[in-house]
Amino acid sequence: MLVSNHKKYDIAIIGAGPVGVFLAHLLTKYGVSNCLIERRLSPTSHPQAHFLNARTMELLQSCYHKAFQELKFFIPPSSEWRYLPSRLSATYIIYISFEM
Amino acid sequence: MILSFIRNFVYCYNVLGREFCRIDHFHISRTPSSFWMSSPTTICHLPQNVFESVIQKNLEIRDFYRGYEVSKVDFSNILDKSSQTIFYIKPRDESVEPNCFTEISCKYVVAADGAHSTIRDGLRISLQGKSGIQTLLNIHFLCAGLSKLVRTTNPAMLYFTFNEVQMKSIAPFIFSVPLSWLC
Repeated sequence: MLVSNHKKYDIAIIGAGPVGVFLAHLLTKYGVSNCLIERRLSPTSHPQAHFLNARTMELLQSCYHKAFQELKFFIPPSSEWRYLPSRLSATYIIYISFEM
Repeated sequence: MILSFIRNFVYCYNVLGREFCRIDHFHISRTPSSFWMSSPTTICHLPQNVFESVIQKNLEIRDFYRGYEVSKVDFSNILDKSSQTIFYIKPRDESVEPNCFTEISCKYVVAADGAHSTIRDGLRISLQGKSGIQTLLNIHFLCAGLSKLVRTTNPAMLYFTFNEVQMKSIAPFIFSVPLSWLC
């Protein structure tokens, strides 16, 4: 095995999904040495989860302001929000999205 | 404009045809006013792929190994707080650096690699609670004509399409409107 580089960090994060990226951002912000390792070559193209709760948005607003500013575009006016009851009861769901 | 897309879930025979039911999730019951008093911000509705793109684009980190996979992890001392954990990563595209590894030495490893985490499996840490709640199959396809028709004539966020066979097996097709339409 050929080892070309040796790197040392306080924390190594494996996975650059929402959790990994947010953690890497926080550690960097507070001066903790870290690295982020992601297998995929680009962010996922699958919708997967599609809801951010208020606490997550609060953390983004206070700790990750640049991203929050972009996400604000996707927030409907608060006067329009209601409870969102789940109507999903299917055992198997085939999820199809279509792009332009 | 965004609201017209994300407020409705449509239950139908097909996307542009007979409609069984339309659920407007923004007019079922009002969220208590105390909710809005309790937080300086609000909930947000957007798919994970868009969220990931936004936060990754704004991430300022020096060492981001994108396109690398973890290999040769020694799990024997990973739970030993007094020692360093050492593992190796290599680019998936071996034409870039063929068979060449980078050694990572760290105090802590955070396994944020999802529900099927290889790190968690290696440590034999099992998930708690019920697993396999749903089985989903994502299919992405391009259809400019269909997207134009749906966008202009029948905007909604999700379309649950049923036919006789699917009714019996409770396995609807769900069409999702990509957020790129809204931008």
